[in-house]
Amino acid sequence: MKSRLSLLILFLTLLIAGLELYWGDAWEHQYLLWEFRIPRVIGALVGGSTLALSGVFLQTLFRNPLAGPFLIGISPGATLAMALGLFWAEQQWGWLLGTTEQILLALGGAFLALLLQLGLARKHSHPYQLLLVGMVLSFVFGAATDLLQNVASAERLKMFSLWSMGSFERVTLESLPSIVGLFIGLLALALMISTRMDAYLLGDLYAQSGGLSLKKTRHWMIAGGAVGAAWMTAICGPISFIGLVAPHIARELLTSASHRKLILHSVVWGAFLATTADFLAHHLMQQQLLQVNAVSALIGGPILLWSLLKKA
Amino acid sequence: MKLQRLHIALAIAFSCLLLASSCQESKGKLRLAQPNWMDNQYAQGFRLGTQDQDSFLLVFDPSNGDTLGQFQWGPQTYSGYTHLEARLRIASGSGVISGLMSALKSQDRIVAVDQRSYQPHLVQIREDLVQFSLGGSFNRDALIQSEPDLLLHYFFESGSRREIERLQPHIPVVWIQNYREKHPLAKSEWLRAVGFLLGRYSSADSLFAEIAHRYRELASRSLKPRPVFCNLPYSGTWAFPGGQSYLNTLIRDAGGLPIWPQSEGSESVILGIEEAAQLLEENPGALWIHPGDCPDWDCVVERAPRIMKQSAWLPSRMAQCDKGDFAGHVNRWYNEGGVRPDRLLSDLQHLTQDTAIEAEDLYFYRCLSPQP
Repeated sequence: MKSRLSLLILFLTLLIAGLELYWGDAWEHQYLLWEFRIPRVIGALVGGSTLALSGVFLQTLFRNPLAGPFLIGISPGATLAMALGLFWAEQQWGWLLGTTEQILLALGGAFLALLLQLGLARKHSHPYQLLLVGMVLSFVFGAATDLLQNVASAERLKMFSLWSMGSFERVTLESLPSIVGLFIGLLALALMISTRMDAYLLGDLYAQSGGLSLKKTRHWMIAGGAVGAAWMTAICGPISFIGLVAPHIARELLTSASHRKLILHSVVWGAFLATTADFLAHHLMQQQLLQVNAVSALIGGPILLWSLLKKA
Repeated sequence: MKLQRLHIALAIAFSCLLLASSCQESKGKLRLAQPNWMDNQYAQGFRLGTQDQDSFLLVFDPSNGDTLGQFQWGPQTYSGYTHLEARLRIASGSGVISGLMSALKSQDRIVAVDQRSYQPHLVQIREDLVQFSLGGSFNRDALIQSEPDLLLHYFFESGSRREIERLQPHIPVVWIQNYREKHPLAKSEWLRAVGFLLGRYSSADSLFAEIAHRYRELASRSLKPRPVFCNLPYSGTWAFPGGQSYLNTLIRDAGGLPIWPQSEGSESVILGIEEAAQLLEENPGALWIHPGDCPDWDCVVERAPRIMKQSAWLPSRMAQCDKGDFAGHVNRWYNEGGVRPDRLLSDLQHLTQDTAIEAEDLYFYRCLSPQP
């Protein structure tokens, strides 16, 4: 029954993606189709799946279904780096941020947060300590971003606000291979360590008695979760809800605790949420693009609530 | 029982005190008769009136007509109006307000500004010019210490309005919401309000009449329609001015045809990059204005690479509104353009009609072209 539902969701996702590709007169404008439409649609499909995978890694790592890239400071790290670039570097030195600089900045911020996290994880590898460190990092990065906003002009604030909305429109033909490659790599990693993640969820003692290297497994999960979220944030801006909600819905719908199944189902739900949110963001209001973040939360929230209430 | 009596006695005493204080307050104040209200031509955000030797200024929110303040000055005081004792030392909350005052040659009255770096020409006049705001942080102490008679300010949302209005016991705040006026001449007509407030009404009125006459004359010219495109993408979105916005009105009056969807309001129309690109594809030879904050063509290529690599879509002319700006902080287009829409319109007409070849033909715009 659950597998059938996910299959139905997969079919729906592909249907929406196909509909989006054929929407309007895109096929009459080949340049527009290849340069804008196809990267966006594939970006939403693959990007949503990557964010969902990132969510699976982080929720398993922290044994907490509320964990996500926002909680361990990765997205706030990228956001702080962008704020530094927009509010400080540009105002101080008149340095204009191009697309490449934006990606590099966000990536730098996300990886700096990841390095801090990994550095601290060396001495304190217990999930609760990691979670606490991540939350503290998030608060510190968030506070620094707020402070920077105080010295920003209205124009810069607007630019920052647009960046922080997140959008698959930013996926280009050039960046698409990196997103697809990353997704394939993360999926392979997730499937490879899925049995380890099964054991890890049973608790430290049980996992260790089964011969599992806790440290190694945690590092793989941190790296997988963080790299996926960091790269997507760098390319598309912070897209907050999908990484949290897709694995959550998949977990609620599955009866099995198998990570192999959870990974595949989460990928499908991630793609569905992202593709649907992108489709609705473009077509819900005529000639007015909506925020993907807001639309994904509006779709994912009720689904999540439904699954929780159904379980209760 | 005794306690109950005590309560009643206290309540009566308190009511008497309130009554006495209200009598004290209204003592010496007259009821407002009927001032002679002057008609505005375009502006919705203020009303000016006189009665005997007294002057009255009502300030409204141009977008919804809400009253934002009632001021009065002169020998008499009137209930319901804030009596302004002096109007010599002014704190200016934006470059636009300073621009209005400069146009009336009253810039020497400005003793404090929001940000010194935004108004370097005022710093040259007064080295001790106080800065009371940096970004979103409002420095109330610095503003009070500059001892202004009045604060002329604007607000975007009610939070910042409340924050600034906490100054009212110390400094009267006059809201200058001219940015919410939709017609270019309505923004400029605030010259009359500021001139009235500063005691320079006749010169303000004649300056506005001259600006309005020139604007109407330019707008009534028979012009060749020219497709106009604007702005730059940011983070996957492309924002265009709303159908009834200030910039849209200017473009249309300058003979331009905005090629983006025309909304009914003044709020921005937000499109995806693909939709914006399609507009350019369907309108070859469009004039492209306000390409973000790009100072040159290369910057536009960097910010919108997928658009700029399609040679068929490249605009026949691209113009940025940063001529004469200072160190990237001051935008004359905003600060002075709101006061002189006739000059803005003249620039835009030159651009839409391809009549401005030399840089000196333009007041606020510069043409951007690819490096040879």
